[in-house]
Amino acid sequence: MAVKSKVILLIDDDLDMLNYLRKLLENVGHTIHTAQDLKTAQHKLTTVFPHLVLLDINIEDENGFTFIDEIRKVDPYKRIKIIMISSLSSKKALATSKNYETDGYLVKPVNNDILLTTMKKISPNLGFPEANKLERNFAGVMCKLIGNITKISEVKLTFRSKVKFTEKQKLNLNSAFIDKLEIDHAQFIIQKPSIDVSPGVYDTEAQIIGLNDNDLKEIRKIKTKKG
Amino acid sequence: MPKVQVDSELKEILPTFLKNRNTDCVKLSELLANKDFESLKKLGHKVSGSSGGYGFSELGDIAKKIEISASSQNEEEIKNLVDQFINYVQSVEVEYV
Repeated sequence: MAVKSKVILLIDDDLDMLNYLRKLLENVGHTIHTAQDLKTAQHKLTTVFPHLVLLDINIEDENGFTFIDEIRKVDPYKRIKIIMISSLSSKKALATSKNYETDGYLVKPVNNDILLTTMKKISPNLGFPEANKLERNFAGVMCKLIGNITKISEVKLTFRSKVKFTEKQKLNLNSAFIDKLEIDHAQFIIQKPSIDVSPGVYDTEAQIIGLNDNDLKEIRKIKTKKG
Repeated sequence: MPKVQVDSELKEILPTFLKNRNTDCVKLSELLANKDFESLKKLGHKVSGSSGGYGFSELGDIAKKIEISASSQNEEEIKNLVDQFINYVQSVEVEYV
């Protein structure tokens, strides 16, 4: 049976370990992101919003357990699953992992069989709830989502996120980039359905309404980056 | 001469792993000469964590012992283990399965 691709964030300061885990998990069809320190991990967490985090405990001079709090801030409903991965097999480390309500604990060295068996066990739980065919009563539901603005012109912008829009929607943007451009007074309206970029990642175009001449001038000044 | 069977799935990434272990041989000798036990402990810890996955359990065991000996600052034992580590890395033969 084909494995349904999931987005996995690997956090370990050892590049050999990251290469090893990446290779095995990519070979079974998952999309892998890696971080060797918690600052990078924080950035990746909010940009890729993974289904699963494999988290080392000893990361240089940092403690991997502290990063669980960061994951929970982004995902208070514990939809992102967490598996600790460490050379530590002490009762204390296992108890701490349990207290943090992680979804598993792997003791290094981790071999192919252990990793794939663990993935097989946890796979049914790796998924975010989908809200399909909302009843009219729920048409006013608001949701907060994390995404990146990937393109902008004088008339529209594109943002990449984990949410697929199918209908016309007004969008409230909270973005340092928009603040810097001082166009937060504008309205952003999604006019057409999102486009699939990769499994679970979508590009959505929003029309920008209400810009004045100065705003347009500022947008035209933005340097483009291609490639 | 140690022989290791490595999953052919790892063929692409094994050269980097072995190159890093060769670098470790130099580092370990330097750290030992400088009596930098904390760094020896960290290096031992790191290598013991990743080696087993690649199939190098014996190397992982030596690295684990370096970590433990560095914690107790047992210089004579560390020297012996570093020699074992270097001999292993320099003579290991890999067979892909």
